[in-house]
Amino acid sequence: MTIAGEIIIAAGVIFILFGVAGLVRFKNFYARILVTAKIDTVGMMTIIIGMAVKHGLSFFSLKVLLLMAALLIVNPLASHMIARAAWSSGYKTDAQTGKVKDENKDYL
Amino acid sequence: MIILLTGVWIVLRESLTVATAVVGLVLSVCCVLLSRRLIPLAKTEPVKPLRLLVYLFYLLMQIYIGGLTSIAIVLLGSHVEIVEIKTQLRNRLLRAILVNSITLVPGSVTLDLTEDTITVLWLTRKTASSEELENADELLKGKLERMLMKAQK
Repeated sequence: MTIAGEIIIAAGVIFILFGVAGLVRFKNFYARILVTAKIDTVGMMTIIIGMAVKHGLSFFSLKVLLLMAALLIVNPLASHMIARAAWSSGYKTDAQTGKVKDENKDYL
Repeated sequence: MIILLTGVWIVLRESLTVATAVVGLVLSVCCVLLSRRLIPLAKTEPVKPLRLLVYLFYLLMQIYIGGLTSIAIVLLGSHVEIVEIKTQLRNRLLRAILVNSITLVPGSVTLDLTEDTITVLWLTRKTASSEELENADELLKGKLERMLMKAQK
């Protein structure tokens, strides 16, 4: 069980690693929020499931699963608010502006 | 709801004794009674809870599929598109669930929801064909919406 849990946790870390890679790679604000917020959701979920598997059925596992439930409810709200705020204040996607990636440095 | 809250209380207290259960039960009843005024349950439209449970598992699966797709996008390059999709769901609760699910599935974030139009920020592959872009409706919400349709009463 411990080994299985650790493998799942490692998978979660890999998901987060790709999220960070996306953050470094993409220069447009929207692409960044999409890649990071989401891959981190998956990463976090995988790590939490991994921890629950590792500890078996105990109060600790149930507590972390509660945490995951809270995360699943709050996460879309948070990313929606950030994206919506950017959209309302007039940020444009690359396709709309026709800009190449390098010209988006002001988003940094 | 009271049973659910008592369960949460017992898990947070980390002890399964009669005393904890009774205290949890009393507190849950208080919580439900107090929040009843704030959340008028009678006004919410009815749904089928079991269908929603099935939907939750399907959604978790979709989140993982989306996560893997996002990894591919990180490797291949991205293309961000703002698309508008229509929903046929009439139940407001289910519509809110659909919109939150779209946000929760990696690669798409909902920007706006009006009566039946959802504005979605969508991350696709750089090489996505125009056909794929036209199928945004199906790709973003297809089966999720159909499953929620079944949950409608």
